[in-house]
Amino acid sequence: MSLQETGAVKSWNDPGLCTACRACELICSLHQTGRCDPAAASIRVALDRSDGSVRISLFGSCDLCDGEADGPLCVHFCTAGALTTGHISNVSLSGKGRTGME
Amino acid sequence: MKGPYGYAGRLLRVDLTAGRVTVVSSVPYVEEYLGARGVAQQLLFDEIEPGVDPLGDGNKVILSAGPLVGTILPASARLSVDNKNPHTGGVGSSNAGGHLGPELKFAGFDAVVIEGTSPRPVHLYISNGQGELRDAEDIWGLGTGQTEAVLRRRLQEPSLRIGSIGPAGENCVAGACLIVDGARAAGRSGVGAVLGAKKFKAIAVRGTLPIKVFDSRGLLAAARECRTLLTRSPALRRLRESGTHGAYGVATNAGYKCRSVRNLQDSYWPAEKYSHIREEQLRKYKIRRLGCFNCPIYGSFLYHLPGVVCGVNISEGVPANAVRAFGENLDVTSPESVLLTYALANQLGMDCDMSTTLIAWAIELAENGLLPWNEVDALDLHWGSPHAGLRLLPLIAHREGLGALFADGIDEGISQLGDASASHVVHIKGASLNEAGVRAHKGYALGIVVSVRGGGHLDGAPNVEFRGISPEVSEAMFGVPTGGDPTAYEGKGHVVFGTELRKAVVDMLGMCYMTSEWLDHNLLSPDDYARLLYLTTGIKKTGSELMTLGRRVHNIEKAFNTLHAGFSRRDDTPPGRLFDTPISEGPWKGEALSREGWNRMLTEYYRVQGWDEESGWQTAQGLDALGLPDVAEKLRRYGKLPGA
Repeated sequence: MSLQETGAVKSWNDPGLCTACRACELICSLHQTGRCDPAAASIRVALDRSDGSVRISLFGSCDLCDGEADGPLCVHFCTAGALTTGHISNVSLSGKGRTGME
Repeated sequence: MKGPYGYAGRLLRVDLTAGRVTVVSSVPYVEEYLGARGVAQQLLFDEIEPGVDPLGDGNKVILSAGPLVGTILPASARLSVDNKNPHTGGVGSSNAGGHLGPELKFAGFDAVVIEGTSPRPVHLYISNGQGELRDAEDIWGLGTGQTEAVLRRRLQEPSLRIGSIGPAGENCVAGACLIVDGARAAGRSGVGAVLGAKKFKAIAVRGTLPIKVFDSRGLLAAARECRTLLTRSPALRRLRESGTHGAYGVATNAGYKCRSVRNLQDSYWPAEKYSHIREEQLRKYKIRRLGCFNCPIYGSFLYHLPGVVCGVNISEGVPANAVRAFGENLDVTSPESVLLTYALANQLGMDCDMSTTLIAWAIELAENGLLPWNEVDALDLHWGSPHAGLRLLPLIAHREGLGALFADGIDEGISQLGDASASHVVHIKGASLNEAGVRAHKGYALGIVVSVRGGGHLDGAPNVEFRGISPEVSEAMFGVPTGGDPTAYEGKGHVVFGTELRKAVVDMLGMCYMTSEWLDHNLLSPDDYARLLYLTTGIKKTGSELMTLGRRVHNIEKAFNTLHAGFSRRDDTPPGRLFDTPISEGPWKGEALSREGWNRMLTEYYRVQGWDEESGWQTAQGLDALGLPDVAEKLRRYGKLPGA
């Protein structure tokens, strides 16, 4: 699924606490397809190893986990706290620090 | 090809001599030993005869991911890497995290078997159900980070997952390893040299296939429970906060653990020295936290390097192993030196353990006047030098200058350097020994020394000795009350045995060792793993049955060692300095191993295993009782079965 094919893509750079573990991709794919299939997720995490930055992209196929009891599963499965419901709805950057150790 | 639940369903055979790849069903391979290390070690035992040169055509390298890998279960991302070990001549088995294991599953493969020798440098590209050998002439010679960057750019695929060797592997050097995701080493097993001898530069994987699981709802619920358990564990919280670097620092400063100091001359290092290289001192270089695939523990970080190393200025790290290797074991108090030496080892493709074993050997030789003085000065081979490792490692990796003397490992190094050099190298069965807790913590020492891989604390070395578990907990886990009493020899044979079985379970399934009872006895038990296996695959096993399978895998590995390397009781003996040089200061002052205590403990371990107490070898009776008559027959054929 290319970025162009999915229609609207919203993305944001450097969500400070993201560890690029891609738990969000995996749980999203389970909601979307019933299988473990990150390639089919509505969310994509990309780590740029040249400078350590992370970009998270949200595709138009995201349905905010319609039908799931506790709302967007990616938010719940992100242990690092990099995603919030506000993020998923509005794709806005947070002001969080990078490692949380400052 | 429709795969079973959890498994991808395919195995890739790569014949480098013929330049041919063949896709076969993985089903027959995983039937008996479930996956990853279990499958790989059985295959190596069956297909490699004694006498095969580890750096020759007949060796094989198996990359495999267990049935839980790539599923929604947390921390299920391990890649097993198995081969005949050029350091020891016996078992090679290592493990790497990151994202390559899951990507292999998403590309439709449970395992890749690499055999033969390519006439020219190649790399393997794997994508959805297919594999292809491609030319690697233009990336041969590059560091591992540069290799990854070139392959991702060339394929226009930023999500490509890569395992590669560096110049050390290409030059078939001791300590050469496979580096995954730029920094995660499948180390200790000499696999980098094996792949270099095969002219195999890298494996690059991109997969977009789904993994089906047996009970999707049940597994999701179990995954949620696991995540809660893992995120609430106090031991794992420390890892999440500051990685193994921080956690190790806390444990040693509080006196639970020891250190590996100046080529294991001591297990005590002053807190004042450690304060210079503790985790906080590296914070200014940190960019962000990093995690393996779907891991809620993520005890790793990405760093800006204070310099450029083999064309890269960013590195993941820094594990406790690296701090031990390039900090206290070399008496180094420069945090920049620790970070840069670790990054350099990764780029050259050398594992931390053998790197420090060789550097520390060189320094101890220099201090004893056994190396030419001009070389010693040029490389600054002194304890505490921030330069020694940075200067010597490239020479070893490229077989240049003084490095050439160390490049072929310990036995060859002794023959080059002379007999007087032998007492200055610290090793087990030809493999590196860079470990804390090997004088005061008796069970930990036993687990390291008897490991089938030749050393290493991620086999049977019990972490419970650092945590002071109660006699009741120890009894429940191991059948003896002394697990939490570090200086007791009694019962430790049972404790090591039980630890080995638990590790084998984790290694067959593909979950991270950190999810197990090893660091926190309230985490996942073999019964828990059995339930997760059922939910993922539909395979019904009890925890006890899983441990029995693990015991059989371990006995296959033991037999491989007996057949290929001839190890016996005398090889299950620590280096003399662990007996003769007690800890100099600190909470464990005066502790050393006693020969009498060691012999009692080792005899107990052999008895628990059902092995012959005099030789340390397996017996026909013991192997038949385990359901391994084929293994017994092969040992008998080669005259390695006592009483047969």
